[in-house]
Amino acid sequence: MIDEPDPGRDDLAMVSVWMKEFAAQPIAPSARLDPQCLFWKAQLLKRWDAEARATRPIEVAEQVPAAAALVAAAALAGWFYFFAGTVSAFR
Amino acid sequence: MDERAFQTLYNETAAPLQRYAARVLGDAARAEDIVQEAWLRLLRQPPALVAPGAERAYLFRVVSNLMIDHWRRHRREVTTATVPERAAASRDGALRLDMGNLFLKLTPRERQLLWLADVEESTHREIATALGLGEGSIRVLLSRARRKLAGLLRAGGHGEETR
Repeated sequence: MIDEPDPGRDDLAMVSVWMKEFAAQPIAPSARLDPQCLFWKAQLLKRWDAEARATRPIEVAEQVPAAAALVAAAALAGWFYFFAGTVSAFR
Repeated sequence: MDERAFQTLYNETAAPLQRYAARVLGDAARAEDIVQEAWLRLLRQPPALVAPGAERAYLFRVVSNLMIDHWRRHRREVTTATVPERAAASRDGALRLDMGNLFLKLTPRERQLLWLADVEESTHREIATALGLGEGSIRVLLSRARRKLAGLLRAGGHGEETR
């Protein structure tokens, strides 16, 4: 990155003072960010995350037989098509 | 993290985090959502992923990233064109009232940099970590942002007041 000259001392002081004044301006207190609510909401989300992690292998396992059946059916169809073609060539 | 430790961390960090998000975003409601999401991410993290004592840095990093995500999703940023030019009208009260609008004239990245450097007084390394930038580029980006803000302040007559 190109090395640029730093702002002058006056500028630095002016910006620094302005930023401090700006930061000191009050903002409306947050009503929604109650720490206790946040903590328990996070605990609940953590529990859901853990449940989702725990049940994921079961969900995957449930899909395996269906996928295996599909693959077997496709293989059988392929084999039958090939076999039928070979038999008809001999006739 | 147990509830007590969280309460202590919350008491130390909530206000600066909320101010950072609200001032840099210029939208207090959106800032609340972002800060809440950052807290939830911290609490949902396995403890081993956030080193003890690094929670504050983690929270500032998550809030910074969430703000960037927000800006990417909503490109319709409050730009200089939409910011009312009330600051120039009267020097005393209006300039104070329009501090937020003046700050929004900077780019989101400049606002993050200036806030972290001048308000949070973070080191260049901390800023680089929070913003996902190279440590070496912080000095240049920061001085550019300061020059730009100084220019805006001078244009609003601020520099003449302080001299």
